[in-house]
Amino acid sequence: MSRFPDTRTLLLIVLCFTTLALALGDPFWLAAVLALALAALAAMGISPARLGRRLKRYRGLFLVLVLAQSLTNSSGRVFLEWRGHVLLSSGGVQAAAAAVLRIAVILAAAMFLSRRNYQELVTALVQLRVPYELAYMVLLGVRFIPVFMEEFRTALTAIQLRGVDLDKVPLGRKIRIYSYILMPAVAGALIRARRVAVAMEARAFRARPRRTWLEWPRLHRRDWLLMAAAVAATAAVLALYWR
Amino acid sequence: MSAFIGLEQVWFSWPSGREVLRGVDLTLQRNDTLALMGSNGSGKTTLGKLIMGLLQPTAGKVCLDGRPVQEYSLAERGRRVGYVFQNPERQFFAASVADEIGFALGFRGFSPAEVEERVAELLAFFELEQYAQAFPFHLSHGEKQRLALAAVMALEPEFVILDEPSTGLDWARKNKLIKALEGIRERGVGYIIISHDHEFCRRLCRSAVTLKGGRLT
Amino acid sequence: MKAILTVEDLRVAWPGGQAVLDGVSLSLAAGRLTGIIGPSGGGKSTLCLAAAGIIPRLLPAEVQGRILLDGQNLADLTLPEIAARVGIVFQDPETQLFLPRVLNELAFGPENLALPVPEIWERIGRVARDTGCEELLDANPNELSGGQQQIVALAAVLAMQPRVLILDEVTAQLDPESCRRIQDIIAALLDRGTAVLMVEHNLDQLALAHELYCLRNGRLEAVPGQVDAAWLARVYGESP
Repeated sequence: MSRFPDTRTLLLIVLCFTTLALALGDPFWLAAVLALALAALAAMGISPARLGRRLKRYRGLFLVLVLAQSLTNSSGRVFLEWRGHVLLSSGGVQAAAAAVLRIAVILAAAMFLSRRNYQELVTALVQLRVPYELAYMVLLGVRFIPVFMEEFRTALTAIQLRGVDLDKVPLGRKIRIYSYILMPAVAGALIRARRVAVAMEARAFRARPRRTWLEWPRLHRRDWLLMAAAVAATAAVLALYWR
Repeated sequence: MSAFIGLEQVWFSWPSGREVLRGVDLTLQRNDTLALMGSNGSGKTTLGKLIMGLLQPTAGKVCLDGRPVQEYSLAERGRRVGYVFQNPERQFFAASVADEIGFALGFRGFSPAEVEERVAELLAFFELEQYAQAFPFHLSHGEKQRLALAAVMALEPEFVILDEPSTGLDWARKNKLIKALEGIRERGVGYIIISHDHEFCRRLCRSAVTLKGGRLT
Repeated sequence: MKAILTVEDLRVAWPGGQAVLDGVSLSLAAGRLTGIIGPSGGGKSTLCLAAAGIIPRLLPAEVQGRILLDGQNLADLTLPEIAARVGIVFQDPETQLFLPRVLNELAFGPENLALPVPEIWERIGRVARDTGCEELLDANPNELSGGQQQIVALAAVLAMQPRVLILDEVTAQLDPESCRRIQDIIAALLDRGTAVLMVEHNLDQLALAHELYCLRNGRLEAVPGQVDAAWLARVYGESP
């Protein structure tokens, strides 16, 4: 019943990588942390190529970040300027690279949990002394986002099945369509969420202050060693970085 | 005459590895009316979605009017083959019943007056006039089924696939749906009805097939 | 036969709306099946939700009259206290299943009741066998068909061993074989002394009913011994 690594171990690893992503500002350090994360994912049998596919989805955001950093950060060597305004500088490039790498590290960190299901995450949070009602509610709330996205996608499919070719619709009208279906998508997701809440309560959720857990994984010695290694590595990186 | 819908040695498995369909062959003409039956989990809904191109077969070909279904855009498929989901709520996106029916007509070049006329016609045909301004999610199950069908029929498709349309309908509403489908059949529009309801299918379909063990019998 | 759940002159109206239930009274006794049919919008689901305590706690409505559970007024009990004794299975299985595996769904209710782990395993084994979903325990409920989901939803409620079971059109999406299995399960539950309230459109699914009512326009009326087309037309509002 107990898997290695335990979900709590993975949560700690996620916390360590996220901490490093937020604390480090230098793109070379962030790149090194990203490489470490990818190696750790590969060691766990999670393909680093999946990160590439996730990053592709955010390329629009990355472009915005790069532009914003370039325009607001004019330190270092100037590469491009126009009428006295610095458009591109080494400082801007570094800041943009750091921003992109930071997001990549955080996304890579989240992938450590990709093989754990929602029940395992709830159990892990409860084992970490989070009240079970809160653990379920937090994860149901987080699940609301994919439910909402799924409702939105389903609505888009439904629109197209009504003969509306979104690829051929002008941008202005496309935006109108998206805004048009936003309300029903939200309403649909909220109605579904309410029905789930009713179903949970109808099965005695919160009947008792404590509940039994059919599966209650235990930490093995390897988990403790891995957690200690993760914390030590994080502390070492931070110490070196701030030295 | 080439088939309007053609499935040739279609296999389908879920990413988890569970095999659902094993070498399914099926040909249908535009005005065929077919009952697709089978036990729970036999793959009926999956087959319906494969025909619509909402799922890709693991092997084999799915063709619409002689061309692979994936060569059509989703919109083109939707214009030619109407699809009514098992849970009709999954295809609602408008704020009112009238908007739900008339939405796509605006994109087809109908004027507002023509849209209004067509919507009124369909509201009357499917006995939904009193709900014209209601929020679709607030309708009863039977009313949602009829709304889903009305919205699909607004496009005047050549064929319709209905997934468990009689589920949860009481005696009267089932009769209303039967009447509506008989009307559609009279207009020369064929359909596949995915259902367990033998009596419902017997009244509406000229032929029936059963999915068992991933194969059609 | 002593009633486990008694509904006395129940009136329910949605906020700002008309009465959906207008003076409904009935009793659910141990080992007896009460069947309810009627047109859509007649109040059947509302009656189920009120009997399970979901109205007015989770779905606000104006409620008059009372419901007694083992002699206690439902209004004086919390929803978890009611849920421990009254199980309800809804028509739409998709929103009744919210956990990643069927096993998790069957365990959820007994876990909430803080039952010992060995007892939970034993209950899971039994309901999985009774409902025929042993081979689905590791499956993701989202990947099951609508009918399979409904069976799992029923199994998840049965795992709590409720004294009163309310079934709101649960056979709607089931194939004939699954419907027969439901009948067998209900027969076994009745033998064990469970009170069952079953709402259906199809009278065939109520063959085991000891009492049969029609709920129309918020009022209960008895169903005649012989149901013919004329009666159906009168009840459902269509000419025969």
